[in-house]
Amino acid sequence: MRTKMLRDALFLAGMDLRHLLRSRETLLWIFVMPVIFFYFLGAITGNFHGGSRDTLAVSVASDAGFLADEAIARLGARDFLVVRPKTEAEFLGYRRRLEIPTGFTALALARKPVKLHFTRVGDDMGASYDQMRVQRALNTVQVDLSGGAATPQRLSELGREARPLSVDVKAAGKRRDPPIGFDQSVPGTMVMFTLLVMFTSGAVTLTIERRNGILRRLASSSMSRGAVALGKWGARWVLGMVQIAFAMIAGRLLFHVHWGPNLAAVAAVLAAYGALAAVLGMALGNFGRTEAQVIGLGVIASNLLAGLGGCWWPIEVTPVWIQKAALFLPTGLTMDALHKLVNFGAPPAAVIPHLCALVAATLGAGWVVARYFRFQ
Amino acid sequence: MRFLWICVVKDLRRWRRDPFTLAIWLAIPLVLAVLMNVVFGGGGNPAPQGVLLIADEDNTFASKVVAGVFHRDPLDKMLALERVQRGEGRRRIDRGEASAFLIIPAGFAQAVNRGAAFRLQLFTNPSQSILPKLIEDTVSITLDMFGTRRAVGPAIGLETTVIPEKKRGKSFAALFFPSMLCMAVWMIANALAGEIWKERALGALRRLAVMPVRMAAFLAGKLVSVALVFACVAGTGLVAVRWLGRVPVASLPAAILWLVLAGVAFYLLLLLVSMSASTPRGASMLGNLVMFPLALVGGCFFPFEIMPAWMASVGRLTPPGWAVTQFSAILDGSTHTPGLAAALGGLVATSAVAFLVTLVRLRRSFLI
Repeated sequence: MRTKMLRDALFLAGMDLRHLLRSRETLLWIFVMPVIFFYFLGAITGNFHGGSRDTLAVSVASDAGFLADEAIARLGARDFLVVRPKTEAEFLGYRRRLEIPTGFTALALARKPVKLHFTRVGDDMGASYDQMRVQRALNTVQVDLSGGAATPQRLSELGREARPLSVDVKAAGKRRDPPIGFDQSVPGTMVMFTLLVMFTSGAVTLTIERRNGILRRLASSSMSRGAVALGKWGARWVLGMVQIAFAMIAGRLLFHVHWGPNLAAVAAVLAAYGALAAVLGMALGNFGRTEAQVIGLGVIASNLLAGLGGCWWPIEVTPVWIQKAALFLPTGLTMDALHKLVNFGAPPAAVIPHLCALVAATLGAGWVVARYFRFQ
Repeated sequence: MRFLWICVVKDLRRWRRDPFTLAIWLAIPLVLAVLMNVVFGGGGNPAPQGVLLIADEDNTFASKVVAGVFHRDPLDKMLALERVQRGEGRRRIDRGEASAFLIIPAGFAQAVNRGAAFRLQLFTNPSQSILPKLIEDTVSITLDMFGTRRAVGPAIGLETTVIPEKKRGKSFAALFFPSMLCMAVWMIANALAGEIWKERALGALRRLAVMPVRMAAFLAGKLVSVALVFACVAGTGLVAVRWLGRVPVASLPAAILWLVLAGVAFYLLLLLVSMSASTPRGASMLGNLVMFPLALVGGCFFPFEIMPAWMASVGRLTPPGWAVTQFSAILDGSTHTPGLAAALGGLVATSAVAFLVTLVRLRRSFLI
């Protein structure tokens, strides 16, 4: 009995998969749109982080001396993009402005008080951070000067040396640089698109089959309700896996995304996620009445889950309660597991709770769909 | 005129019979507004939030100064400090439960007093980019301050002037909302444009062709009903934006008018795209192929302000890009009556041309 059910489910899954893969819309959303989104989102988020060097306009008095150049070099080391405007009007056009006064070097070497003037337009949160960074650059000059470095060469050497009091920074995981640009956009977009395809194409095909009477014909066949539900789910799950595999390969080949040292564990997490997305898509198609309803709800739900799960933006920008709540969403759970495996280089055991949660949710939702599967 | 009215009523009745679809269209801007509000907070600016673990093994005044920096505004709003033992801290940061883990080893205060070399250890969360950098900078600055206190001679002082901006900078929500609302209109226009295939499949267009009525009246009726949908969407979205996102709306009527006219223009353009396909599925695919890339580059997903310069300049030339740019200007009140009138004129002219082309296509080849 069970063998027959599995054979029926397998047959139906194969037929359904062939039908789904013949649909040009599905192919568009699996093979074309994700690549377009990878590129655009990666270019935008890469630009967003790459543009983090804040421009600082510096006006230097003609007799400011060599300390001015040293101070400018150290401001550059504090992530400022230092520009030296030619005219005062141009200088005043900048939001961050530093004026190095006349006789700066002479006064400092003579150990006389000297003041630089920093102007910041805008009293936002970044203003005090900017002030701290400028102050820090000047402090290092002062400390080196008091240590006896009175020549440009010696100051420059000291500037390159490590400070006596310093902080040794190491990434907790195996990854050294945080994921930005394509490294951030490709996994997030892949997770979102899998859900989107399952919630739209995967769901609406079920609604169309019900409207066209295909499901009624299946109901009159010898196939059990469970076999039909399992077969339909199987086809969608394989479709999701095709999509995920393509996205991973495209991400690696076109955008040089690193999937971490545990590729098998990454694949297992994504397979479990694909299974859950497929069954949720089926639930949507099962309970939705019209195609417009299903597609509309699918688009809204997938975008909402993607936004709250950290697929659109780094989850760290959201309030702490959302960061915690995201772990109860399929998207958030999957993104967290991917961060662990890809960014931390964590062993596969680290994502066993994630896998268990995804599989349990799939089984639970699968039971509901199989129990209440609507043939008409 | 009577036939036009009949067409409007027909479309409205059709949507009334499927109120759920209409509710979903209205829900799109609402959901986006709620999402933005939840993520970026009522103020509309995202403040990254995380946890900093500190293992203070020195437990002296100097080490408390380092930790105390994170209790000051605005860092205290972004970071929750948790004191831990070294082992627990390592375990937790390795599990990604914090943004960073700072270890202040014993002997820190002695090193500060002697001016000797000393290194604190900071382990950062590799999946985060904002908070770990902020923590690293803050710790480094604090350590430099210790060095400065030991410096001999007069300080190189820094006099700071902070000039409040006359016009407040745009919050994150204010940057994103116009894009998101235009995206909703753009997506709804695509969905509505695809409905022409239903009319064709059900034979409504063929019956129309043999009736003594003008096709222009039918198309105009469609535009009126579509405009009503956009008015509802724009009204809902803008009210949500105003009250949930706290985004200033300089002129609500002008903003609604702009979104309605832009929506109608989008509808006509996407209707043309839809009618140039040979099957309903082809139309859906073609519509998506046109809609999504244009929405991406046209600032509907991300505002132009955060795009690479080349992408933003190309995007502003696209229909959604133009709509987003003008809509943002209307929201923040930077557009004036002549400028707004010219933009509206341009939109009406574009729609008029698209109307005529669509009409020709509808009469000549799409009917059959």
